[in-house]
Parts: sequence; structure tokens; C-alpha cells
Amino acid sequence: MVDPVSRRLIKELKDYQKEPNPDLAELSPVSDDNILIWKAVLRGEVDTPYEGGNWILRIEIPKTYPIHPPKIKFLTKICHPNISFKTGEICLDILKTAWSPAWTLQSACMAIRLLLSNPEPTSPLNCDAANLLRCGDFMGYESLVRMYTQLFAINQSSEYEGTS
Amino acid sequence: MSSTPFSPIIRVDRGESSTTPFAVNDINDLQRSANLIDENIITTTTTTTTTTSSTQTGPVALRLPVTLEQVDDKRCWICFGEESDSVGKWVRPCKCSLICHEECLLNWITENQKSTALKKVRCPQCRTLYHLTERTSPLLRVFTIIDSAIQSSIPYFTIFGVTFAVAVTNIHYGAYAIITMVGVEDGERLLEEPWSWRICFTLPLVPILLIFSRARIADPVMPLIPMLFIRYDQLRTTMPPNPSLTISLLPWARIVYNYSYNRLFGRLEASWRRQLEPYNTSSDVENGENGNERRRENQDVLDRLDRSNAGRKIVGALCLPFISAMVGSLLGRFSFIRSRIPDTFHRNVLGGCLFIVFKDIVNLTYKYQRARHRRSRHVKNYADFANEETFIL
Repeated sequence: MVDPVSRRLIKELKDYQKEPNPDLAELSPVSDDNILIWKAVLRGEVDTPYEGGNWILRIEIPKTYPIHPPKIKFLTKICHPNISFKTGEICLDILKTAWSPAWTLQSACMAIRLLLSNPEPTSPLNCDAANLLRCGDFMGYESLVRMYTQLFAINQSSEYEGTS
Repeated sequence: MSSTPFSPIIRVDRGESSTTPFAVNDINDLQRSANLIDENIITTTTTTTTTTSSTQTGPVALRLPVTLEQVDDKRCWICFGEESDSVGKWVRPCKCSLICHEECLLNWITENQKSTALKKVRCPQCRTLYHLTERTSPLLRVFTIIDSAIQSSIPYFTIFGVTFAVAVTNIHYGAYAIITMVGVEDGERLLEEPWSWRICFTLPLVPILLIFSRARIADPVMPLIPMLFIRYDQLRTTMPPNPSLTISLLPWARIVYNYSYNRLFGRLEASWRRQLEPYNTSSDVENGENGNERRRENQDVLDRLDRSNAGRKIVGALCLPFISAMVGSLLGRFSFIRSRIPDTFHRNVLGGCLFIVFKDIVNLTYKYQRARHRRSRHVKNYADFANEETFIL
């Protein structure tokens, strides 16, 4: 019999495959040998500066999942107040203190996607982006985000395969 | 209240992004099971309560509790195990459709209570409080309460400890400064136990006031501070002034000195500093006047730079009593000063004042020299020293 973590992850994978999510281009383990490392591809929301971009997420699942949250970070560079530009680390409460087992990998990814269009500039990991928002320079913020989306997240999804 | 997965975690400003972050098929499942359950309404069981959480936050509204047997497709919301592929006792601890293995839920509750043992754990969807039957002994309850009390009091203890350490350091510094200023015998007599409230309050204030005396913001309050701590019966105008009067006069002397210094040298000093700034406009004296705007900007930059060398000012301020005492003892070597000012305290105060004046003179000279040095600099053309260079090579 498979261990509970693998069982839950396999079911999550089946759920995703049964009804693929149009906002999540991909959600699967990176390799067949290790089910604890997943990769997801996030599609930017339409009518936001992230439109058209595809971001690769690396998901590391602890052996105590789902009691403990998965570690999710961006492999594709993204410009967002709550995401570190350098490391791709994400500042989101549900991935830390507000986690509960009712979340799935898919729903966590969707929460991250929702975070993209709803930044929280008061707890920034990317101060430059957050400062633009705090100063009320929405046009500057949007064009900055659009530029980085264009630079890193459009038609470049294959580049980061090797690092995952 | 922590956010639930079934209500959007992030503030959604726009109405259309109602994408609650959970899988779509999950809602459908829940809805299906809800409909199933709604058909067979059962009376209250002992494990669930209907009193908590009157508002339904989840997408599924279940009005009455249901027993486990009515749920056909059992799936543990924690481990996703189903009846076919998992073992364990099933429980339905809340009024919504989430059911789980008892073991899984107990693990989750234990994890939640790791940091605060008395934390109440609720269902992430319907916010129902989980009710547990447990065997607790009074001893365990006492231990738990003590443990969580200690846990939550640690930050306060830390703050208290740091404050206490700072206060002790300040008192020691203050005492040492007083002994150096008034001399060992008088100082020990002053600091003799038991301490009056005046000493208790003033000793820790000594370093703080010294540091503040270097800042402009202290100007309006500085003269008031001695008044708070000085015994008024000692305020007599004598010649030479007694120590209490001297102390009360020092802040005024400071204000007068700073004011006259700025009136006399402020503009000069600013122009010297400006010459050391890159992109200054005043170095070309010929077209000096049109650079007014630029100059003001530079002045702002300079003020900010001045503020940044706070460390230097703080250390300087804290060294002042000891430097004063050194200059004071130096003054004491001259017999005519000794006869005019017989006590150590006044010699030291005078020494401090002399030191400040001396320091400012040296400072001004240094600034003047640097500005002059900068003005005199010119870059040589290569042609002028090309011959020397080839010669050296």
C-alpha cells in the first residue's frame, strides 16, 4: 500500500487530469521517481499586466503533507510586490501560517494566481514594485510588470526546464 | 481569524474575479453530497453542535447535522483516503460535508496547537469548533496553562530585559560621568546610598541628554530639564555660581553658543562645504548668482549627509565628560586658575567649554583648509608632463 502522502498526491494529480484547469497549463510531478517535487505552469490572468505570460512554479512537498504546506516558488522571473525577483519566493499567508489541509496543490496555485492581480504592497518582497504601488503610480507599475512579463514569461517556458 | 480555503484569501477588489481558490470539481462534489444529505434529515447527534457559527461561510448550506452513514463516497479531506484504499475510523466533526479520519484530524489539531497549546481549532470551511473528548488530568491542565503563559510572555520578558540592561548601562555611565566631573571625593559623597529620587531619575538620563545635546531638536526642552531635578533652595546667585546654578545655566549657554556660532560662521562653513560637493555651482564665482536653486538643493543633500554621521556625534557626546575632566585637570595645574576656581567641578565645566570652543576652531580650520585645497586643484595636461614621464620610463 502506498503511503498517505503519495496517495493524496496521486489523487490530486488525477483530479487535475480529469478536469484540467485552463488557468493552470500544467501540474505534475517533475519526474516519475519522486512524487514530492512538482512543477506547475501558471497562466497570467487576462486584462492584467500578466496577460499572456506563462510562469513555471516549483513545488516541493514535505513528507508531512498535507499537515504542513508545500513550498512553492517561481522559477520564471516575475515582477510582483510579494514575490522575490531574485529567488522567486512567495509571500502568501496560506503557504505559511494560514495553511490548512483543505488546500490542494491546485488550489494553492490558483491562490498564487489570484495574488498576482491582488498584490499586497504592505508586506513586500520586491520593494521596487511595491513602492510604485504605494506611491500610486499604477501606470508605471503596470508597464514595469508588462515589460518583465514580455521579457521572461512569454514564449520562454522551455528555458527553465533544466533547472527544475 | 485566519482565512479559509473556501473563502477568497486575498481581498478581491474587482467583482468578476470570483475565482475562489479551490478546485471546481470539489464544489461539485460537495454540492452533490449536500443534496444527498438534505434528503434525509436526522436529529442531533452528540458529536456535533449547531450552536457555533451561525453564519454559513462555505458554498454548501447544511442546516441540520447528519450521521456518517449517510455519506456514500467517503473521502477524507485531509489525506484524500477513501473507504476502498484507506483504513481508520471515520468522523464527521462539523456540520459541513467535510469528513475525515479521526487520526488525520487529530494530527492536524496537534500541529495547530504546537505553538499555543490552548488554541481552539475550527473546521477550515464552516468554522465549527472541533469538539474533542479527552482524558485530561488537573495536573496536565495546570502544566498546559503554565506552558502557554510562558510562551506568550517571552516577548515581554525580552523587552523588559533589554530595557533593564540599557537602564543599568546608563546608570553606570551616569555615575562614572558624575564622578569624573565633580572629582572622586565629592562624587562618592553625591552617589552615596540611599539614593534620592533625583539621583534615580537623573543617572540614567545622563547619556541620553548628552546625546540629545548634540541634536537641534533638543533646543526647546534642554533648558527645562535641569529645572525638573534641581532643588530650588540651592538656586542662589553667588560668585562663582554654585553647581546647581551652573548646571541650569549650561543649556542656555549651549543655545547662545550655537546661535552665535551659526551667525558668525554658518554661511562661511556652508560655502566651504559646498565647494567640496560634486557639481557645485559656486566654484565658478563669475556666474555664481544664477545657481541659487541648485545651491539650495545641495544644501538639502548636505543636511542629510550630516544627519548620517550620527555614530560620530553619539560617541563624541559620550566622551565629553571625560575630555572635560582631562582639560579640567590640566587647568588645575596652573596656580592662578586654581586660586580663582578652587573646586574640581567648575574647572571641569570650564575645561569642557574650552574643549568645545577649541574643537570648533580646529574643525573650522580643517574645513577651510580642505575647501582651499579643493579650489587650488587643477588637472595637468598630458603635454605638460609627457617629457617627465618618458624620462622616468
